[in-house]
Amino acid sequence: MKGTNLGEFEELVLLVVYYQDNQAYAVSIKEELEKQTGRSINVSAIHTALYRLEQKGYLRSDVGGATPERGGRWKRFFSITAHGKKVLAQSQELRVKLWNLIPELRIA
Amino acid sequence: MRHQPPKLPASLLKYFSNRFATDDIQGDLYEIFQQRCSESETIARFAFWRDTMLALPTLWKLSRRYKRKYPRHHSNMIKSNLKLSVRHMLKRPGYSFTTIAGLSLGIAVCLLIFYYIHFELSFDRFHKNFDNLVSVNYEFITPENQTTSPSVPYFVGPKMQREFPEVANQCRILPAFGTQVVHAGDNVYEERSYAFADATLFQLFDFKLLQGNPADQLKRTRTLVLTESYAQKYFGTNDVIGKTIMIGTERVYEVTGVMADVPSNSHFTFDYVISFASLELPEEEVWNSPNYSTYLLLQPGVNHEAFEEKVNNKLLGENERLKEVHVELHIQDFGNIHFDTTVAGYADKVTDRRYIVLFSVVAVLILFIASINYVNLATARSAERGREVGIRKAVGATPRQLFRQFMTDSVVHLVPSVAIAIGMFGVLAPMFDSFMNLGMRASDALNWEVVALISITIFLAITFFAGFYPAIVLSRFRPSLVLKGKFTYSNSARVLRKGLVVFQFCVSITLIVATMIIASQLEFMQNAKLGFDKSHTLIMPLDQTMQQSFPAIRNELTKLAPVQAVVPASTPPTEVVIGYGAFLREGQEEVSTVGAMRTNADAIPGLGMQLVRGENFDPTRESVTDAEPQYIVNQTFLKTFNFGEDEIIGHEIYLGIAGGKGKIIGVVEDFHTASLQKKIEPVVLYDRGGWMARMMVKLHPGDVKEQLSTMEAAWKKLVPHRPFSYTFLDDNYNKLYAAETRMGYLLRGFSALAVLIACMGILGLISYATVQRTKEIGIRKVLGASVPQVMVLIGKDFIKLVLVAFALSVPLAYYAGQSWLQHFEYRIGIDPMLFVIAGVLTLALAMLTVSYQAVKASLINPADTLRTE
Repeated sequence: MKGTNLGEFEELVLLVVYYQDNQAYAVSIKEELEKQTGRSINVSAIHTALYRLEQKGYLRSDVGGATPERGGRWKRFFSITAHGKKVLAQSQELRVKLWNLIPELRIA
Repeated sequence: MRHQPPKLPASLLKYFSNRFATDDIQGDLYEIFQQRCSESETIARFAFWRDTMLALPTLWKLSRRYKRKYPRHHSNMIKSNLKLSVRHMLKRPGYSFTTIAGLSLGIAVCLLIFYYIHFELSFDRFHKNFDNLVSVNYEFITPENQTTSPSVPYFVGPKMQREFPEVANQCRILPAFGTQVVHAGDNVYEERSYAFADATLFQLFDFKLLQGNPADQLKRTRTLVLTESYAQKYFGTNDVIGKTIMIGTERVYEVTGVMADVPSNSHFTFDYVISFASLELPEEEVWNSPNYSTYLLLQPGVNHEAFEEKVNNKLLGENERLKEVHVELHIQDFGNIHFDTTVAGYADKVTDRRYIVLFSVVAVLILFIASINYVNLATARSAERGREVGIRKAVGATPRQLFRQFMTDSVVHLVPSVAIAIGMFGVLAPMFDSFMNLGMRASDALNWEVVALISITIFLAITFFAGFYPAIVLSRFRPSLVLKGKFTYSNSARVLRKGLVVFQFCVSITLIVATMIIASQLEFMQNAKLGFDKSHTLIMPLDQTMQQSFPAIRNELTKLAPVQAVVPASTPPTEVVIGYGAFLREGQEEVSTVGAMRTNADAIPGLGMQLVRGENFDPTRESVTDAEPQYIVNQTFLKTFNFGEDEIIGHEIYLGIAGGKGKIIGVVEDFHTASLQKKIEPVVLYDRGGWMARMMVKLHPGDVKEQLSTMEAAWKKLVPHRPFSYTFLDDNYNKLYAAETRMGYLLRGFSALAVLIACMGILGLISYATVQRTKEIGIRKVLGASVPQVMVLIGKDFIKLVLVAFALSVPLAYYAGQSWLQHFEYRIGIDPMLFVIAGVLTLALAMLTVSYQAVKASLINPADTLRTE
């Protein structure tokens, strides 16, 4: 079994990106996460996570979509790579396995 | 609805990021800000601050990473900027030439001045021990007078070294007194520049020894060291160790070494130096004869004031007599020697620091004026560039890029200016040097490092200060206005330009007035009545050998046709030393200080002085060896010491140098013993004792060359052991004003330059204004304006400016002139005519410039101008 170097927050971000399916960029991810977790998240943490994930090869990015609200600056859209999908699957597998070891928390 | 995020964090974001890498991050922050604004702007702003701070590290990291992908070198931009600048410069050769010419002149002058200042400031600094060297000076304080002189008795140096641990080493130097007759090889020379020095000379000072054993220089008696040029002069080679020369009539000296010539930035200099031991002075501690310059090498860290106090306490404590005659020792920093004008005896090797300040100010002013031309012309021509700016902005140039373009313009103008200026400097420097009498010899090569340094500084200074304003103005044009062709300067720009022109002319007029004031004062001083006649008078040496046969010499010389009178004296009237002690009344306790001149009965008639009371010296007394001295005093003597005219004749005084008690037999009209800067001091003429080292020969007016050759022939017969040498008394006198004369010439040059540059400035501006107003002129002509009317129209504004400048410069110049004149005890009043002349002159030049352009403008054919619509 391979280990993944995926931090908890990074995993969350990766999941949201996957979920948003090529429409993910920092602000949309931030809003989704805040909605789901109920905590407020600083956008720079998300940037850091995104760029690290891209470095590791789990994401790829593209630019586009400048709006006046952003002072004319473009957005950077992230989408998940095959490798990213694989690592998510691995992580889930590992989690389920461990959780299943505890009778009360068995997932199945 | 769009809100603006707070500015400071926004700029921070921009600053810390590389656009390509991190635009999205910035955008995200902006977007979030906008969202938050819909709820609460205050919170949004606060949050924006916080987000920015947190984002900075990420931005920094990322922009670094992406740097390589989007490199920030602008080499192409720079190339294109340069091309454009050069093209613009060449498109308008007239303006460019004006600007560059003005700048080159200004910069060249600046270079000369700063080079000179560097030379002055570098005096004496080539000695490694500079910081710890001091000179011991004699201070003589009486109720009437305070004199400082750099000469102390001969035993002071070694005594101080023995008794004070602060003194690490000492060196005594006896500078030249009178001339020496030197026999070297087969030739005889009369030398004026020599010295006697202790063997420690080479330890204290950095003089390079080229030949000879360093351990054996100036130690033994009758040895000397030649400078390289003198070794060449006497023997034609540097290999002269062991050779001998004869000084005077019998003493033979051995050459022990050859040293490099003394550099010109040293306050003391000599062509050869003789060992101090050769003076064969006794060991006693006698406080007479303070003639020896004494330099001490102090231990590092010694406080000079404390040391001085300690020295005075100890030495004055030991010797009561010193206190009585009010003598104190003063420790002078080596670095101050060149600038201290209060110390007597260094007349020509000392510069007043004030001149240095003055010259730097003038240099900067001239540079300023030249730069102003650049600024004015550049902004005036901005309309031409307006279209360029408009288009570039429309296609996306940022103000910063445009700013860089216009700074490149400055650089493109400045580089040739500086290059030409350096060329001019190279050519002018030798002339400047001999003119200013700096004495930089051929061996002191131009210090190009200094030149380079100064040039670079000037270049940078002008680029930034003069280039900045036009660049800013031009890069901030509103393209909308410009492209429409509607383009006016802001009011502030116009006012600034006018102000600058006024400034230029103000400076020019002030300089002209100052020049004229100096010239008048100089003329006044040179032609003033001195109380003696300085014209047609030779000063010749009179040594001991000649003294013995003096009556014969005098008679023979007087027989010569050109000779009117022969007057022996201790010094010429212009060099009378004020510093002799005298007791003027019975029971006087404190000694009085007077000037004294040893001479004889021929003095008053021969030199054209006026006896106002009593009698002249009795010529028959000369052969009497044992009589009391007789004294003649000047009028200031009576005033200073409160003697009435009636009681003075027959009054007895005691004058040390003359041998003692004697009666005053006459009163002579005051005569100047120094430059007219100084007051006349009390002076006593005496006819006994002392030395007469000079002989003044008064000639009838006539052909000087012939007279001199007659004199030379006679001299060879009468005084065979000395070469024929002389100076003229009026030259001697004029040397007192050498500094002022030089300054006069310099200022003359500066004012001419300033006016020239200012007029060039106006020329440029006017021609520009004319071009701008061609349509207006055309219309006016069509409506019937005549050529002169058009000229007036154009020139009016500029002439007004010149008048304003004149008004401003009058008080300025007056104040400056008065303060300078304060230094002279005898001075002219400032003649208002000077101002009028200066003003008229400047105005005339300005009008000339204006009319040249105005004529061209008014001759425009309206048909041509009105057609371009």
